[in-house]
Amino acid sequence: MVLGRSLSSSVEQMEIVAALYPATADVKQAEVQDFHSVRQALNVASADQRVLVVVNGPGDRIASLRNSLRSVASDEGIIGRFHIDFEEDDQWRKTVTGLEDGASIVVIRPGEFGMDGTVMNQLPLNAETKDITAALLAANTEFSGSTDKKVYSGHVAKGQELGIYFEGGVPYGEDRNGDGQIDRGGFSGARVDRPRR
Amino acid sequence: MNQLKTMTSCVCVMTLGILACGQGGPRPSDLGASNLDPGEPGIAWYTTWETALSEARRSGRPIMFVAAATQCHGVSGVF
Repeated sequence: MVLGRSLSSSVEQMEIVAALYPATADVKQAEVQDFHSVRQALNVASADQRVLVVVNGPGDRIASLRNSLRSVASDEGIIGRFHIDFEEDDQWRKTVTGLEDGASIVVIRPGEFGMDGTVMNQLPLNAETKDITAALLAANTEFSGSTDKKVYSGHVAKGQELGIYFEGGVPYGEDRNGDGQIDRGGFSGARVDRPRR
Repeated sequence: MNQLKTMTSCVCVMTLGILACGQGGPRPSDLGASNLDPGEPGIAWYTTWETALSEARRSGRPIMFVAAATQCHGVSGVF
C-alpha cells in the first residue's frame, strides 16, 4: 500500500490496514519506543512539538525500566503525546539546562530547533508509576499551554537566518537539475520532476 | 485516531535528509503547520528498528515503515 498525501485519507487507509491485524498481545504492555541518541530524540520531539522523556541510568536499571514503563507509556493520557528515549551514557547532559546529577527520569521541553532542551521535571528511577504518569500529564499540560504551534515554513526561514544546521546521517539536498548530483541550494532553475516509480 | 495509536506498529527513520524537502516534495516555503496542536495525541511511533521489530513480534502485527527527516535545508526541528 502506498499512502496518499491527504492526511485524512492516509489515516483512513492506515486504520483499515490496522483493523486487519488485531494485536495478539496486550497493547497496554507494548514495547516502549527508543532513540539512537538524545540528540536525535530532541530533534524529533522539537519537530513533533512533544515533551521528551529521557530515562538515564546504568544498563541494568534501563533494562528494568524498559519493562516497568510499558504501562505508563501505554496510558491513554500519555500515548502519542511524548517521545521517550533510554540513554546509558552522559554525553547528552550538556545540551539540557536545569539538569541535576544522577540517574533519573528526565522530562524535557525540547528547544525550538531541537538542538537543546530544558528540564521540566526530574524523577528518580525508582519513582512509582503513578507518580511518573502524573508528572508527565502535568508536563504535557504545561507544555501545551505555553507552546506556540509551529508553522514550519517560518521555522525553516528563521533557522536559516540564525544559521541553524543539523548534521544528519545523510546530507540534505536534492537533485534538482537531474544531473545525478545532490544540489544543496543555489540552484535557481526549475526543478526537474521525474515520474514516480 | 486512538485505535491507530494503539494498533499500528510504525518505524520512523530520521536520517534520510534527502527526503525532507526532496524530489517531488514541498519547497520549504510550502510547509504549513501540523494538524495537531502541541500536546495533542498523535501516532505513537517507534523510532528504532529494534523496538519496532520487537513490538511487531510481540503483538503479531505488521510494521508500517515510514522514512522521514527532522530537518529541511539543514534546519532541524521540522517535519
